[in-house]
Amino acid sequence: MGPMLALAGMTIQRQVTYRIATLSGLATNIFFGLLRASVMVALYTGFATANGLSPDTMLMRGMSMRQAVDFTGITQAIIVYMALFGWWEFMDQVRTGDIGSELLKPMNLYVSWLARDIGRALAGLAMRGAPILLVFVLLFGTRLPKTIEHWLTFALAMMLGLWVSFGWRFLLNLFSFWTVEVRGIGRAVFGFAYMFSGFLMPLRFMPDWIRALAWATPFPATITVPVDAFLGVNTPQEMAGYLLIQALWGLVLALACQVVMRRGLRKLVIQGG
Amino acid sequence: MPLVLRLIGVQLRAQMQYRASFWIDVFGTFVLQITGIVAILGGLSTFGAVAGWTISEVAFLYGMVEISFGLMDMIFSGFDPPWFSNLVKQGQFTQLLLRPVGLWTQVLGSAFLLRRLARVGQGALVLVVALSQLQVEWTLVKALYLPLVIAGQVMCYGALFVVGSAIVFWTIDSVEAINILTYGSTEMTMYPMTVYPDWLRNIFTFAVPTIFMNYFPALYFLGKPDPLGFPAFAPFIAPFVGVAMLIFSIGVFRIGLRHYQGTGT
Repeated sequence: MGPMLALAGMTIQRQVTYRIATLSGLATNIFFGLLRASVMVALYTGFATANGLSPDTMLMRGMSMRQAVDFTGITQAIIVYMALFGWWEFMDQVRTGDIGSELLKPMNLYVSWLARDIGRALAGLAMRGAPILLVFVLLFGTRLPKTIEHWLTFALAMMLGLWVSFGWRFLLNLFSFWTVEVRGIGRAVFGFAYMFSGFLMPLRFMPDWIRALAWATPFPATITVPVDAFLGVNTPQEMAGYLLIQALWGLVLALACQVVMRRGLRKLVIQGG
Repeated sequence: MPLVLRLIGVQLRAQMQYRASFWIDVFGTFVLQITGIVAILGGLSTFGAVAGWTISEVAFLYGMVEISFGLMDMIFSGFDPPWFSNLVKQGQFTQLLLRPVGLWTQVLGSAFLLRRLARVGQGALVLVVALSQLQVEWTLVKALYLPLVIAGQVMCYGALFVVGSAIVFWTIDSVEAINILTYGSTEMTMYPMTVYPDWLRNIFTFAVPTIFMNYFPALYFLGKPDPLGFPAFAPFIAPFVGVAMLIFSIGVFRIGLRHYQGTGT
């Protein structure tokens, strides 16, 4: 546990150093959150007016307008935590050859990178996530979970979600052992992650065929489950099922990473010094 | 042949050396963009409309802005703020100043990312699908005006890139907040502007006039009434606004340049 903590701590420190970048990024997140919240309000009021309903009381597939607006805030808040916009650190290490010194350390690669990713994610949560959420609470009245159980469920869904998120990102990066073209293909994978995770639009609003496809991938476990846990839109039974799905994906991806890693390391040739 | 075209030619030849890599990149970018719009339109379809605009009409807005932004992103690759920031940080920009060739030629010629065509392609695809669903009453004027609107948008977003790069003269690092103006404008103008609160729409009307680039021209093409009560010429000023913004951005860039003293690299 010692080295894992040290690695996580160092990554946190690295992120805290860039304060202006953080402020500037915060402004960007708030702006995009504002745009998406406006669209949600327009969607609900438009639908309610057309169907003689009240936008404040109507539900769209079990989600109220209030929750849809809160959705835009919480998704903006966890972008950095879940590294939704790309993560190529491991690939870069393989390309530059820095992976060589990495391999000398007496630690499983998956474990040491998971530790670093947890540090990266926690720093992102503190520096980006929490301020964004605070601003949304102040500007848009976003409602935070009220009970201890609600917070704990959310926290658990966030932890498991990060484990799944790291799993697929690391697996993708591992393919840099075989080809230097990971970034191009990776971009397509990140595209599917946007679409199927329920980041751009809640999955429940999607047509059935997209939802069916999405739940066959690990991506909803990274965004939809934590976000739904935050919003409290599910029954406890549904939530328990979701958490189980997260745990299974985390495990499956961890095993897949170990297998692919072992194969990759066997054929790895370090280029130069 | 003008030097800038020769420089771009060099860029293109270099990029096509790694053909497989190039096409994989194009494929990746295409998928990244198309999945995004499928998710958004899929979500909108459950509600049926946004502020009185059908899904196809929103797709029209999206197609127009994506084609324009993709073209701009390719032509103005050299002024993409993170790229420009690297030129400044690594001292290459100082080298450009020493050469007896125009600065614009060199910066525009320093990068020309052909793979941005992927974004143009997916925008065009969405636009064609949208038009096939919409009953647009085409006239000669409309057909002639459409490319001018796209040109206007290219200049408008190009101007935002140039301003973003000019800021680098002070900040050295590119400032992520400039994304609000560049990527933010594209996301914003893919929805009808009446979706937004008045204060926000006013900013993008009077401070950064992107409302005239996509929303008003779309009202004209789709034959929709203007709920904001603007003068009748509002849909037709997109090309002029584009030119004006580009001129303004060049001014800002010049001021920044005067401020620039090198980074010691």
